[in-house]
Amino acid sequence: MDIDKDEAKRIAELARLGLDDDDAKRLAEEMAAILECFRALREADVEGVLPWIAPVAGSAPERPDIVEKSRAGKNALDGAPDRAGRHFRVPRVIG
Amino acid sequence: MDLRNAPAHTIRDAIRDGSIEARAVVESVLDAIARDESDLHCYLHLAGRDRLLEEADRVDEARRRGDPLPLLAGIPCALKDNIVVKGMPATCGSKMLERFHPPYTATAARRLLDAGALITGKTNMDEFAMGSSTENSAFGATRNPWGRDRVPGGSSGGSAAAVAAGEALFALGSDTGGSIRQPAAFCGVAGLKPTYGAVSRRGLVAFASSFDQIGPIGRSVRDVAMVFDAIAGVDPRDSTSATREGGGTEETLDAGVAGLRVGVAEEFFREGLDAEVARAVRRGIEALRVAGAAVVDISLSSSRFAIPAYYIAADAEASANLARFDGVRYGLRRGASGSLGGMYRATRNDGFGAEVKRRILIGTFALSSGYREAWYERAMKVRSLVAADYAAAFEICDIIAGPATPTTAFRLGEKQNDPLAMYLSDVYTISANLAGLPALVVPCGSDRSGLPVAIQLTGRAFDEATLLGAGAAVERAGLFSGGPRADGGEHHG
Repeated sequence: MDIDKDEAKRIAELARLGLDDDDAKRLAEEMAAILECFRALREADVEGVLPWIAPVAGSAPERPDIVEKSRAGKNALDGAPDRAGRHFRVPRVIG
Repeated sequence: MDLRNAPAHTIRDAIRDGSIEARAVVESVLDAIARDESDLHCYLHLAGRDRLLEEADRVDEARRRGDPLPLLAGIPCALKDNIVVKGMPATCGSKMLERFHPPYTATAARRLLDAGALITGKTNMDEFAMGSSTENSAFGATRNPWGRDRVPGGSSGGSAAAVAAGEALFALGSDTGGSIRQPAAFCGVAGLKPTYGAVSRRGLVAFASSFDQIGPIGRSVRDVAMVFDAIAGVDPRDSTSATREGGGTEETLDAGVAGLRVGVAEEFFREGLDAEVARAVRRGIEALRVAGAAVVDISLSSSRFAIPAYYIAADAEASANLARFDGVRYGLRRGASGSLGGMYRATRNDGFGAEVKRRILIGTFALSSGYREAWYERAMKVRSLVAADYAAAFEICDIIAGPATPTTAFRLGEKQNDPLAMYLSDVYTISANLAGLPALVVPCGSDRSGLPVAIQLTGRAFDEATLLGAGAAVERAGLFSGGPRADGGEHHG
């Protein structure tokens, strides 16, 4: 499987990971080796086979739509790295 | 009673009938922690000593008053650090959550607390449960009590080592590809991955949501049954929890295995399986036969694709689940002086360790445009093939027996720099996760270095009772005995 440094950087960008050149080079090599080993998947005969869904967990259960007291306002902000009143504060998005 | 080696269920019974005080039980566990924890490093967080003793005293007072005691009253247990408990940190072995305090308690933990169990602390683990040795913890590795130059397995290595060393009477772990069973096997204790949906995942920090299950690790099969009964059952707050009542497995534990059909797949005894492990596992199978079970040949031929199918599918789910760690709502934040995107990248770069990044990248790749069909979708189809193999096998057998791990516990550092070699240590455990089936490991012997070997039993969905009954039959054969060497001797076998 061909994964070069630039491809690793492109994938990292999708994953919101910032890689420097050294990391990208190393991770590209590691990913290439792992994916090469996983190529065995290609040998499986999956003609006509449906992708797996969890049949053992029961069919999607429903529950009554009842309004419950939410804890969101109370302590969802407790772990925030930065906050302003009842809001999470992040770097400015619009200049 | 020898508190250091007695199984939790006998201690439970002794507390309830007043032949032992909960305080003495807690003191015994605290003594084991004081003696061994600095060397073993099973825990990332320990509950306060005074608080545990106070809770134990309350149990003893209630018993003296004649109040009814809940089922697990006064039993000290440990929880893997990805199972949240309000009032305790939950780091998941990651710098990302080093200072995170969850605002609620996981359903499985709540059920243990309601049953009277005492939580001794949160145990060490591979970061976000990604690993097979606990060496991927951002806070240092755990050592195996059976040989302190060895890994305890992973990712629930802290939980398994704590139970083996008497630093807890039982523990909860989580199992996505073997993370309860492989460390239980390496540490000479019993461990159960329940059927997907049998135990609520609410409050388990998600790694791969269609694989993850919480389950018990204990000194005996009965301990595992006792804890499974306490935590199983539907939870309206987890829409993937099965709409059926769980539990009841301890009652039928001694039913025996007469007439039980035990399937054995020769594929699992070929290349890559250590000869001593193979011999011990075959002795375990023979013990089932002697106890009245019939051994039948089965085939699980798609299991040869299990490792790539698992790692592609689980990493894809992980890449989505771990997207939430971005420095906005909780956990680590880095690079906040720049742009929002820069903050995301800096936070994730600093917060995640090497293995987590590898898996996020593999998962992102497998889901990305142009690759999704060839990788993720194919992996999910192979998952169906693996499940179909099991369904065919369970037409002619009731449980499947085989090895839990290819080797006994390997040395610390031995596979740390070789992710593929580390992945191969999951070869026998991941198929049950792919198919959502319950699987149990039970110690069944030792290698020549004295390191434990376990047999793995896999069952039909929601048939934990049969599985645990068969595990109890293996245990009764007495193939494995003793405890970790108190001197923590180095193994050089």
